[in-house]
Amino acid sequence: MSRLPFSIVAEVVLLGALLAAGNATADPPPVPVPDCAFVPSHADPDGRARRAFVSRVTRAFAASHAASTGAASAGLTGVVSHVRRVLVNYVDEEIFGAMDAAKVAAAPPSPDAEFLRRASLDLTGRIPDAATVTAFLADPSSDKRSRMVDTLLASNAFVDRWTFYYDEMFQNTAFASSGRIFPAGRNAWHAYFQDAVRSRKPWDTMAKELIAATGDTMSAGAADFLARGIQTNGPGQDTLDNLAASTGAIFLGEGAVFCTSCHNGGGHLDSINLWGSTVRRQDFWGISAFYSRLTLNRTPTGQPNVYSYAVSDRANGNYLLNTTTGNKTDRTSAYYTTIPAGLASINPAYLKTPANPSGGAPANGETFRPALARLVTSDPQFARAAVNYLWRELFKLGIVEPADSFDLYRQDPATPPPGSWTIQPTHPNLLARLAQDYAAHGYDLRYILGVMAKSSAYQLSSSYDGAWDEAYTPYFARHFARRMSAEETFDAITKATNVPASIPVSSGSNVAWAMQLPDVQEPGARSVIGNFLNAFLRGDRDGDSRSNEFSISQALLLLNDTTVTSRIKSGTSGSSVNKLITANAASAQIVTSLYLATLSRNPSAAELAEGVALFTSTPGESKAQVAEDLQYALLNKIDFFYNY
Amino acid sequence: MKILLPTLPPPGSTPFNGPELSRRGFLELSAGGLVASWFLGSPAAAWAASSAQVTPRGSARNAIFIFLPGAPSQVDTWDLKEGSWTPPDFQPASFGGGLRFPAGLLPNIAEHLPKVAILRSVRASALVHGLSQTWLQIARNPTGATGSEAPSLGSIAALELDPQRGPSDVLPSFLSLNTQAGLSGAGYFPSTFSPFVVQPTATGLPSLTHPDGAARFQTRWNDLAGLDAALRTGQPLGKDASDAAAFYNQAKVLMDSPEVNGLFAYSASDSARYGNSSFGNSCLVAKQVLAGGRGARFVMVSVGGWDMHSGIYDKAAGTNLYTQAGQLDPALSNLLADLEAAPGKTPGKTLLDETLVVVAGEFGRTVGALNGQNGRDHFAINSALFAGGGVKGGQVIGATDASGGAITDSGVAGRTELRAEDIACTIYSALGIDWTIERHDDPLGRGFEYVPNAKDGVYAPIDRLFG
Repeated sequence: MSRLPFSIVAEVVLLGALLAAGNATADPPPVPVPDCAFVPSHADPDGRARRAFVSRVTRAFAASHAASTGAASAGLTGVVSHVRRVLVNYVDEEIFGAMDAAKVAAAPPSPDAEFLRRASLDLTGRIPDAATVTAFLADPSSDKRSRMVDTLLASNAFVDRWTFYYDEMFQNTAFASSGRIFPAGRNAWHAYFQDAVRSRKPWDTMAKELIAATGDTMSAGAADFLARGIQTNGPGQDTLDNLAASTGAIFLGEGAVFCTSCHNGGGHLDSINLWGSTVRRQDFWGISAFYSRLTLNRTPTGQPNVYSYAVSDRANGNYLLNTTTGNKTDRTSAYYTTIPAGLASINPAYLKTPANPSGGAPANGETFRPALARLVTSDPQFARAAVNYLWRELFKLGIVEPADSFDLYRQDPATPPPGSWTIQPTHPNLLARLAQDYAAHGYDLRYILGVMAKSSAYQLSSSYDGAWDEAYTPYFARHFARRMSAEETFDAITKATNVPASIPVSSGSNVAWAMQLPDVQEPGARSVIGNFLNAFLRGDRDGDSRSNEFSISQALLLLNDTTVTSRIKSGTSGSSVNKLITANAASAQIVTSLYLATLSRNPSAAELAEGVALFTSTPGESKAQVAEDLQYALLNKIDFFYNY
Repeated sequence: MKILLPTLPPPGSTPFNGPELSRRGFLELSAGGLVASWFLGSPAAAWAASSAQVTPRGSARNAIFIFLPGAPSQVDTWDLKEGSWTPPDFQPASFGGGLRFPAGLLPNIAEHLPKVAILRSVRASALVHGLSQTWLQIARNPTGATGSEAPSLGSIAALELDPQRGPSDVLPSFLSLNTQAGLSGAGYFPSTFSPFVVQPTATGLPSLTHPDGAARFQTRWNDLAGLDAALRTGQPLGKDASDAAAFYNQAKVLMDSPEVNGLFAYSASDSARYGNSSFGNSCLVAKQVLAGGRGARFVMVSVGGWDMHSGIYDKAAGTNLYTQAGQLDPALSNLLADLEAAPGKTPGKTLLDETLVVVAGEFGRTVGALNGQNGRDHFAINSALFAGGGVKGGQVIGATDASGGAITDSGVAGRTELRAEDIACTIYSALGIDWTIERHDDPLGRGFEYVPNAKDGVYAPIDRLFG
């Protein structure tokens, strides 16, 4: 099998495709034993949709990969056509280098309007306003895209959107099915993230503050990271294990370690995660043990059944192997013959990995949680996981997928994994360079997002010239369109129509943008806005994942909900339609203005003609009514509610 | 009734070997004409699965799950324990089989007890509202391995019943009315099987009616069709985006079916019979929608407010047992009466015969005298109600001790207590769904059991309910 400069996510998929193609000589991998285990949903809020997507992509990719190894190369034989691109930075070297090597043609560069809308949504969560679009399109300078990225990175909306990113990543919610931090704790945590983004707090500093946080959860927001791990229906070890799993998934992209909270990786992860299959349960407990001196003292607030937690550390203690109850299999030395008989407790021990072979432990006298924070942030995997999560935000698909399931034995092309295993990242060098760059620039969120957003790779069009093949997906050969998130959709409606919202937040002030909400439980499901956001599948930051799928309920809301229909009215003072009608704008101007405000682009000549014709071809309707209808139709266009 | 399952993958194969395993592949299956039916093929057959090959009962065509989040006090209602604390106006009375029931608190339900089977041996697995509410909806530990990918009971039912849909079935199969916080969704299934969330109003389904009138809507729809034709007929943004057009077409079919909207509208007199509450109206709509037979098969109706840590009998408190029972009593009793009065799809059967009604909260409340705040706190032992869909009414299954503090008899041989998972098995079996199915299309690739461990017999349908 020839070596290609990338890999696929799960080689069992490749093997499956080979078998399906009649090449049945390969040994099948061991069958994973799907018995009970606990897998985190932290840090992968859209995990299920993404995993399904990845599964589909990798199967298609594997099929063409298999075909290309045969006599007739059937898959990646596309001719590189009209490549119009500039290698802006190392992102482009890696992305286009891989495409060139495999003779995969890139999509054309995005038009200015497509780029502006995409970058605005990805970096600030909002569509650009009409004036910004017009000025940007008219700007003849060659560096205007990079300058626009800088403008977006410096905006207040950027703070909202990336505060939301952290709220999602850490599953900040007042009432989770188990841990409850209450609206005041949630608001404090939200405020912590907001301050961190606004003040350009480095990601490693954030990680240290969160892991080692002390104080009251309703005032010291970082402390809510600890309280969010509380498991109320089990022994204390459940909470420690939750925190160990969150630490692995959020900070290190090592979701596989959570599997080992119930059983050794061997026998379970053998065909899924090579590294994970070597992690033992006591290795997992070594991480849990870093949290074993954590105390969460429930503090009454004066309100009935509402508590904050005072977070601090005891001077002694470690992780006790003394329970057969709770949400995990027994935590006793007797559960595994590999554990020394009679062992009563586990001391903190950081996981040994290929990139961090010495593991680590608290120094003499070092408090456990700060020791863990030190070890996590000095682990090379810390930066790799972070840039992969961020890449996924902008490119819609990670370099490693699923992004919370790194296989640490399959990262370095210089030491390839054995047998049929392949390197996990689609672009291992790119991942390494991004991680290095992020760390070298002080884990500055704006800096690393700027590197990504300024690349030509990010600015490829989502429309592909010629026939698209799923096998091109791992090359990022086009930009991937996705339905806007619930919050983005709602905010785009208020912004396009220029009819703002005032959204109530319990125990807090009203906000104007859904992206500013601290919690997906705000406002409640019974309110018009809460119902709208829920129908757009914002999830609950707990058991119910966020999804970008479309649905019949969403179509009905866009067609008939007052969220849309009340905002298109010419009688609504200040609305986009109202301003145009009040100014007695000509029909062509109305069409153009509404396209700019709603779709962030000018109408094509055909669209302009079609739009203008509506004003004469709609019997019995006034100019204002036709303008309302047009605004309505634009809000229901697929290129409105898609980020493309 | 036997569910046909595809051949199992050969030994040594992985969950990824199946021919059509991703749900995206599943969506691709359905890419052909979508007008009134969501999908052409049978998704259950297209996805590899294994099963213990049990024979589901198949005694119910529909299910109504009446969900009481907050957790009602079982010892004041379904498992009445009389004591010095019992308010006189509960008027405990004896019914057939020695059943004691608070006829003063739930007077109308008392008259329908011959239709109802009470299960008194349910034990909740957690005493945290959110955790336990989700547990009941997905029949597993939400913090467990498959908790974050698990579809709710209604979504699984919707997927399993999908092959039975016909051209006139324009409503989504899974409906949620009077929805409370914490509704579980489609999990890893396509959003087609998400709950269709409706808050009933007297004039019908708000989202099916264009606020500016049908004529105006038609103009706007035509404008949209013209302006968006390129994106709706081709795939320049990829398949996901073009799938959105199909959902729009389905929405339009619903809007163009006034008789469907009529199923969601109700009269003032009917609303009064059901108690003039949003929960009552939702029960009324549930009955109408099932009677209408336009595709909805699993209806969840919720009413909260049961978390009475203080002032449980205090009529001056904003929410107390009288206010909540006052909503439940007329709504549930009229629902049962109306379902019984309506003809079923099969000649000679009533709609109640064809509809399993289940009433349950996420756990119970403490027993004996009230707590220091005159309320009752969280307690694992709980009761549930069953009616219709083949259930033999007028019986009590399982028993607790004199205080209600312990289960003395689960009512099922070999079991000391019953769980939310058993209730799920019961619902699936009644609907003709093999409750032991383990799908191999889940994104985690570890196998997704409809009810964990049911294929090993750990949980099972409660057959005694059916006589």
